[in-house]
Amino acid sequence: MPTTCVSLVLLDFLTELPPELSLQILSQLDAESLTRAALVSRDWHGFTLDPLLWRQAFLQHNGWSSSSPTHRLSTWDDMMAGIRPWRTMYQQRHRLEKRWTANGPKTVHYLNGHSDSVYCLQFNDDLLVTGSRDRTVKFWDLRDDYRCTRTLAGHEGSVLCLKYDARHLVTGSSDFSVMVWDMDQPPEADPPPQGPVMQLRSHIAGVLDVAMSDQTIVSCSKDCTIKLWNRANGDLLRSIPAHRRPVNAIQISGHQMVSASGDGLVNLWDVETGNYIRSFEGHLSGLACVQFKDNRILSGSNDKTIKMWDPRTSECVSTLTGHQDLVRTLHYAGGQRLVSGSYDQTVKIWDLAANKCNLSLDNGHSSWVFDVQCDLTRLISAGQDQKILVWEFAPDLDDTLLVA
Amino acid sequence: MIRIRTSEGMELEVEREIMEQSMLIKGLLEDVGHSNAVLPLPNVSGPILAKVIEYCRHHQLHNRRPAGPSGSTPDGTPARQTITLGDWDREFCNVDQGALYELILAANYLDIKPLLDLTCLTVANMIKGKMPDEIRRTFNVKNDFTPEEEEAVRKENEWCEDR
Repeated sequence: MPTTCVSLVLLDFLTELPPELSLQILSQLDAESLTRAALVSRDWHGFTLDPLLWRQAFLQHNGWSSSSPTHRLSTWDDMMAGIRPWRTMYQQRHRLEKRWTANGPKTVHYLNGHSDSVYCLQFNDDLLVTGSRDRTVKFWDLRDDYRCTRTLAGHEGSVLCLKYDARHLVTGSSDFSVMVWDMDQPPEADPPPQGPVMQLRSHIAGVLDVAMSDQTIVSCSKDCTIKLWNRANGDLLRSIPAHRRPVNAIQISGHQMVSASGDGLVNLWDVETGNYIRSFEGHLSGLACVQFKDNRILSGSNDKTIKMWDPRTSECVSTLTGHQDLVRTLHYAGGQRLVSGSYDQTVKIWDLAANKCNLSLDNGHSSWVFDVQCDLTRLISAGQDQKILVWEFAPDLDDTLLVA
Repeated sequence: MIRIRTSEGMELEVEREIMEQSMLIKGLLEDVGHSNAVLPLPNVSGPILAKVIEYCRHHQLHNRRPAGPSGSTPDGTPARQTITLGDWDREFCNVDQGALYELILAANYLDIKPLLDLTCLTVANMIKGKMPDEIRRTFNVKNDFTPEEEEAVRKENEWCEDR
């Protein structure tokens, strides 16, 4: 019998097919396969440079385009999309993600100014605000070499917590009061900026966390209560005996809010009415921090763990272990990335999908970490060592090319 | 039934609803109305048309979703493209490269999107996970880079592999 005759015609599909079909084939490849295909020949290299391939790779990458969830492509954007430098964008974002998951930040800045522990911070693209045991609040210009542009004094005790939006800065203090400051005051105003626009008094112990919605300011305290205040006039709307131990943290998400307490419970509340909804039970010790976004509640505890909860069922979805001491602060901005700071002096970056710690920043702080926040390219942490650390993950990347 | 003429001039009869998976044929039939006229398909050979009919008949019966991006993560963001081929699809595309090439062209010409997706994905899977040299051997591509060019392209693409 003759041996089997197998047709061994080999075909260079990419150069033989019409270009749009070659691109359809390549559009099925991941970035790694594309970069290998680029090395095959001159023609193949040319195909792999097509921006539409990289646009697709970028947009299909889990979480990469959700950085701007409000952005919807219009027809015009679709037309413009082809001429954005998608390959460079993919490349830069890929580099950035690898730093968040493995390589760590590129540079670290230390901001000096507070004369005692830094308890709390919040930042956006332009502005960092910090509060300290030295009783002041400081504003730092993130666009201008981290210059301290403003110092607010008024509290008669440590500034333990703060939140700001376009209108107001709200601070809570161990002097038992909440202060509301106007965000519109010009920096370096002459005469110097005046005090707060309101001071809210009713708590009978230190104010440990604050939150706000359009109409309401919420504060929680070592006195075990949560208080709701009218944001317009400062009236006390409601005082809730929320927990059996100090209420260490609170956060609003839509019409609901969560609180975390030394009694080991996370409680869920209706913001408008202050009504109790349900509790989340499972930590073995008191809680220091809580985050609530995108139908996920995350809590950090003195039992050294972080737990993720389903707000609809009270079920504990997962438990993250790795910290060696109390988990003092969490920041969750949606997606799969969570950052935490602990009394073990480390800041850790977690992947919620894989349920593991990707990166631990061990050499920044020399004492307890009190607060941490991150955005796409930066992580800022502060602690008992008086240090404010700005960890930059993309100082060398063009940040206009990181988001679709 | 409709009558089709292949590129070799061979005529055959096929059930209309099967061939209407081809947007080209569907459009033609809508334009000309019912007719006994033979539809000429000068770009498709008999053996390839037989494969196309096999595909359309199978999908008529099984009516399953064609190959393509699928799946999403629990939080609703689109997942990274994960594509799986069924056993039937894989067996269907287990043909030599010449036939696969003709099938891609036929699927494109006849405008049968699921078949085009399937055949393009089959080629993509032949590229996926391979080193450049393996890709060259798979498709008999000549490395026409000068050593300098190759080095430059290697540099340009290092970002994806280095950590």
